[in-house]
Amino acid sequence: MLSIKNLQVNIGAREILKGIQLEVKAGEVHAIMGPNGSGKSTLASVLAGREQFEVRAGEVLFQGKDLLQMPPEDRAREGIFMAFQYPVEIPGVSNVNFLKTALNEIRAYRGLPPVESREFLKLVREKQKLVEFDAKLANRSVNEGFSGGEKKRNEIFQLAMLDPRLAILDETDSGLDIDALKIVASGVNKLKSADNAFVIITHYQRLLEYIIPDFVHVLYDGRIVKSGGKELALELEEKGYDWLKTEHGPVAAPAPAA
Amino acid sequence: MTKDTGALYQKLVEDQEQLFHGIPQDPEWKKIRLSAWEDFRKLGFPTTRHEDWRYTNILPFLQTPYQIAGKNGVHLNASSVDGLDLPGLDAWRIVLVNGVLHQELCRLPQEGPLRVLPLEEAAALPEFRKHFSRYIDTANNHFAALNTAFASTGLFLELGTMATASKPVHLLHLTTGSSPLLIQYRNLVVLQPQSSLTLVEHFVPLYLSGDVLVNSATEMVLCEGATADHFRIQNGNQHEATVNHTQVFQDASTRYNNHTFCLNGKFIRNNTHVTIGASGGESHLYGLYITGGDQLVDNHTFVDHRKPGSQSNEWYKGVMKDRSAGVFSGKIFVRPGAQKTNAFQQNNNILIGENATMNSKPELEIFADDVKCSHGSTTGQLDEEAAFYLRTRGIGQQTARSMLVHAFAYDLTEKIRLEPLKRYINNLIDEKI
Repeated sequence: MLSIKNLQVNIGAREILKGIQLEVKAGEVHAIMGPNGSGKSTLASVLAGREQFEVRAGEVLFQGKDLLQMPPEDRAREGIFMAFQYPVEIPGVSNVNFLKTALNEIRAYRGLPPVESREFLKLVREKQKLVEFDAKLANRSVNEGFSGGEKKRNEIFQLAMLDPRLAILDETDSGLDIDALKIVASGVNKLKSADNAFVIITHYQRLLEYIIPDFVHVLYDGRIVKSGGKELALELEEKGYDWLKTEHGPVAAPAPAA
Repeated sequence: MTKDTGALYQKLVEDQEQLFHGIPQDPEWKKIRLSAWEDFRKLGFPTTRHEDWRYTNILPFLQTPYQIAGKNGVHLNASSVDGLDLPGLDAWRIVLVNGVLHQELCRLPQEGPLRVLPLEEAAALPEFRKHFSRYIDTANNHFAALNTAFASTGLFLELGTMATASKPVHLLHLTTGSSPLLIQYRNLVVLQPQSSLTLVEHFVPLYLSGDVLVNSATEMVLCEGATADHFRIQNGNQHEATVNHTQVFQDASTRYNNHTFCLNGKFIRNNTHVTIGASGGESHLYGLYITGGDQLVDNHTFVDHRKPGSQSNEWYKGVMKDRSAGVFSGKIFVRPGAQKTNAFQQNNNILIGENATMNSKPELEIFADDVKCSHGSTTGQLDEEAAFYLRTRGIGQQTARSMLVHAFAYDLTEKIRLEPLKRYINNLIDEKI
């Protein structure tokens, strides 16, 4: 489904990603772990289509299509969803209008008619229930007045609404208390299927107690230095990230903010 | 050179006899006219050397060989006017065509406290004489002076004491014609004590293909305890240059809400002057301007707190696209002795076009020491992070932009309490983006 080959990415003159390889197939859950500044969020941003990055080399294919050539909206329409580490508040844009517009633009791209109002509201109720997101959405702006936890849960709710093929969760666990974390994890587990895939980017192993990954990758200094099964996450939890420095040397440049 | 005495000025001077001829010979009105004409002779037309017109060059619109619009109406089909009703809004309708009141196109109650007359017919009424031209400052306002000197068309609208208009009043200002015209008209709106009116002024061209310069002036008087919701929708076309002077006078314990929406029209200059002349007056001025192409929209506001214990709140927002230009200047004036005044002003702008410009000039002049006043102005760009967020959800760039402009405008559109009007305005915003 997703195939990343030798991806090298700069911000200005600084090399952030130095040749990433990653294969994700339908039905799989991949966890990407690593210390701050290793390039985790950059990887998520590049996949979602953020523009301030310069792709120096490599390619990313999503269902056989060249992802890097697509504007962010086409990536979403093709079936990629990124849950933001810091979801944006957009005062004045109503949640309902936002979701409906998003859903209909994706449907239009796939040659489907717009969703009927009643059907849409039914879908909203259904998905809110599924991911246990009970915040009132009507008459409220996107993420406005939401607590940190609500914003993250809103990301998972949007994920449920838009039903992507590939979901990238960028540090969705950061800033969540244990109850919120469980709810988020349970939402993801319900949405998991044989047809979709998840890439979970996280600093801590904590989330992976609730979402069991099929593969764990350790990102360090812009490279995936180690891959393994779910037990690798536990190992990281025990050992921390310090061993990476001895095995792979210190990060050359000062680490950018995540 | 702060004044222009070019072609149009000369024409007016040459034609003054003719212009004065045939206007009502009411001696009092005549006195007002002659005095305003003297003011205009002194002022001429403003150039950009004049501080109040520094960013707004009207001179290109004074070169056209305009005919001066007369008092005779232009025949328009009722059906084409019906098409301009605001969908879903049950309203009384008043129609001015090039400033002339067309009673056959109006929809008004047969009797009751709402009275609408052509300006000239009202001239003899005591209610008219008490207020007409008492508030407008012709000594300092070029166009208002010219308007006061020559405008004899327009309307007198009065709402009686204690009355609440049973429906909003939709006041259609239509401009029409195929040759260059200077259109001047004058309105006087009087809200008698404790009355309450919703007035929707709607400026639209209808079969307009000649260049017009519209110089309109409106005085609106809120007698003690009166309330007005005053909307202005300006949606002209490429042939239209407009100077609109609105002078509001508020007596004690009045509440005035102004909602101004400037959309299309090649050149728009609004002078919106609010005088809170007694204690307990409250004014809210909201303005939204969205400009594109080579439009210029200038909102010039002046809020005059004359007596203690009044408040004003002003919020203007603008979005400038392409090569268009926005101008905002707002002055809050607190006179000596006007203690306990609360006055706030804000102006926020977004530039979308690389060649779009905005000039914003907020001003406070305060001559009392126990007041709360503030002002602020920002000019920036659309929030890129928000746009990116929307796009990652599959929303195209254009739609994302449109949603964010709506969101920016939302602070002002949400203040519209008439749902059909809110929908109408939101549609106009959509079309404009």
